[in-house]
Amino acid sequence: MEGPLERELIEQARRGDRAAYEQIVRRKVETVYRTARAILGNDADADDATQEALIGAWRRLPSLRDPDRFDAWLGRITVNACRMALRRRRGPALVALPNESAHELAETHGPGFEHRAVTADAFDRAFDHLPVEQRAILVLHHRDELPIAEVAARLGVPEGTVKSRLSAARAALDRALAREGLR
Amino acid sequence: MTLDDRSLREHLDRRAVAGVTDVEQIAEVVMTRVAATASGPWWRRIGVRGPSLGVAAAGIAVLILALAVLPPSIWNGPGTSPTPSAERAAGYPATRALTAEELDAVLGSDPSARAGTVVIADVTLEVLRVVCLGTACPRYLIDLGDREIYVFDSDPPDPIVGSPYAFRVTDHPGGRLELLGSVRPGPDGLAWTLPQLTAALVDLKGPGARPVPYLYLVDAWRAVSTTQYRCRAGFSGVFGCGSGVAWLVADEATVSSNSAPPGSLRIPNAAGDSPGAGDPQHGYWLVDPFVAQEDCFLCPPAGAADLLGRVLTLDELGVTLPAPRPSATAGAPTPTPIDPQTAAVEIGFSTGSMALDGFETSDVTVSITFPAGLRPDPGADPSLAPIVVLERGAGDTGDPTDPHIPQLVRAMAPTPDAGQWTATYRLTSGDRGIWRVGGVVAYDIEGHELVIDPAISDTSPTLEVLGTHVPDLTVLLDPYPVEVGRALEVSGRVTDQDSGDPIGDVIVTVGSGAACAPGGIGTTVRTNENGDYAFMIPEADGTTVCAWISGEPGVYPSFDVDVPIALYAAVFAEPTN
Repeated sequence: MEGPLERELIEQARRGDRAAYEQIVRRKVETVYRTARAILGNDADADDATQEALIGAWRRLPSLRDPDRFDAWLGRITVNACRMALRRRRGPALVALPNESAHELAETHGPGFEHRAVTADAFDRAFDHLPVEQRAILVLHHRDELPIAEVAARLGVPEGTVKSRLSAARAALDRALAREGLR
Repeated sequence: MTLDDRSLREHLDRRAVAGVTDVEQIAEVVMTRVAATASGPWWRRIGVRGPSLGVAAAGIAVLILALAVLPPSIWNGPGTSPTPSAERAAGYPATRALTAEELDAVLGSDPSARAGTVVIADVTLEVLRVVCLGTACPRYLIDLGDREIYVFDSDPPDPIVGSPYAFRVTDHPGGRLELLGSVRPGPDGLAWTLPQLTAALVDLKGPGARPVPYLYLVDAWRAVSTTQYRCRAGFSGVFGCGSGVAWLVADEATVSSNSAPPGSLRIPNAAGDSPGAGDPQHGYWLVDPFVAQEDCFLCPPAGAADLLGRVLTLDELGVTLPAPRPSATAGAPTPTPIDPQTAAVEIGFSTGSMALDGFETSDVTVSITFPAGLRPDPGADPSLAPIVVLERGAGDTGDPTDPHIPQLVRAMAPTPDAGQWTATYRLTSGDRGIWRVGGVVAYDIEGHELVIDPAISDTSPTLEVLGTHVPDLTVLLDPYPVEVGRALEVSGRVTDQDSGDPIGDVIVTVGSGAACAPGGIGTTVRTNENGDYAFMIPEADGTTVCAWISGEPGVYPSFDVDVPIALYAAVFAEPTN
């Protein structure tokens, strides 16, 4: 956000002004939904996560200390809502993704394996294998183009942790894509 | 296979913009829900999973909230007014859902005696950590402190439902209650008048509206036509023609034989139950409205609704309520909200990080120092001791298979230092992640509530748990589907999550029914050198079966001896014939 007008809206909403919060919702719903959609990969979960994030933000607003950090704060709530949406939607999977490296798979399956195009379906299946935390960090940094510091603020972790987790997430995605390439 | 940054962004952009959802509709739904929700601390409004103290926290919050906002007299339920009409719409009596204690009183010692009764209650549902492969499974738990009520449902937990909930009392072995759904309150109370509901249905359920799985309590008359309608093609089923065509109507009125009553809501045709044809019946009806179907005969503009039942009053149920609990806040002045800006507290962990390997555990103490003037009273009712909630945030793996509880709740104990309270948690390798204080519920000496949300205001330090070689557990059932009355083998393997190696000589607890909820007691077996375990149940019954890794108190499992480290899988067994 957070121009003077939006800051005023946030202040009003913090005091329980529903009309002010409605204006905030209408300004933010698209952003929240797109982030949730990218993380979760389907309409139903993204719908639910968006609703829960915006309802949760309303409930928590009185405790928001710094209106200038509203976007980061809402982003954090959105990621949490995505996590909860996924947990509610799915039962525990019984088979974990093997921790094979792309390199190992390439060795096993010969040259050219790494150069196959990544189809949308294969990408989605691979991406959906990642934990929400890894999906979120990839979406926030690579799609929303947030700098590391902002990603750290939204996830509530130190910048160094974001960097290491970003690397881990990319590696996990590569491994998952490699497995998709076997199909 | 490595994806470059540009391709990655393109794929993520595609995921973000795919789909057909209209975000404006989401905004509408959000604002509808906001209209029914006061802003405020989150921990009053969501279930806290985990140790019983978590439920105690929620219970305390609910109790205090109830004392603050509810009328002192016991509500006798809806349906006590003899004449529903448009006149009452203006001065509609406030109605509310049952409390957990009232719900427990309705169930009594023999829930089967109440089987079929529909009730609405404002309670916290704890989601049971089970993988249910049956069709009607125990999904939730209502913790009453000294006992629990199991709730089963045919569907997985719905992500957008919230209290109050409608239940049907049952003698089902999977639970004493069946969850019917979440009830959306009307503009003037829990119940809607029929004019209110039919007017709202255009927006709530009409074409273009996003389906919202809410149920509605409506004050209306059930009217059944005495006419035997001649059927035409296309009007079959419960909303078809024939006999017993029925509606909900606003007033006791004569039902026309050839058109839907004005302002009515079509309900399934009466099937010989009470009331019979021509015998209007007033009540508070629980309905699930939907857009009228093509085969809905004599459908009014508002459409049709499934009729889930008539909600009886406590008087009609003949329920004797338990004596109210004594409370330190009884008779106290109405608490004055504290400005959160002034309610800053000092929070500390006894350590900032810990490394736990395999079955190792370690204790961590969280301390909170309240500033002068905002200090909880150490001598007050122990039930009003500050409650602290630890949340595992960014360190949470987000893995849906992770059986570990992401929220830990404790009642705090005072220390000799002025204003300082502490609580101790026992953590395991499975608790790996970043923990912080996510909530504090406390009251100062004068009974004022302190509004503090450290997770949001970023006042909490963090505790990082580095967990390695976390034990993992699988569960298999043979035969599956489970055949009630026959032998059932529960088997599986314990492995090291990091290496995948099997772990031998591990105590695994196998339980069923209530044992599958936190605090349950089961039968223990040990894994062999291959990490395998097996347990034979001579005669499977129709309850949940589960297994978890257990251990010696103080060594393993984790923070509470009654909380399993890996309540991993369960099924609901059903008769096969």
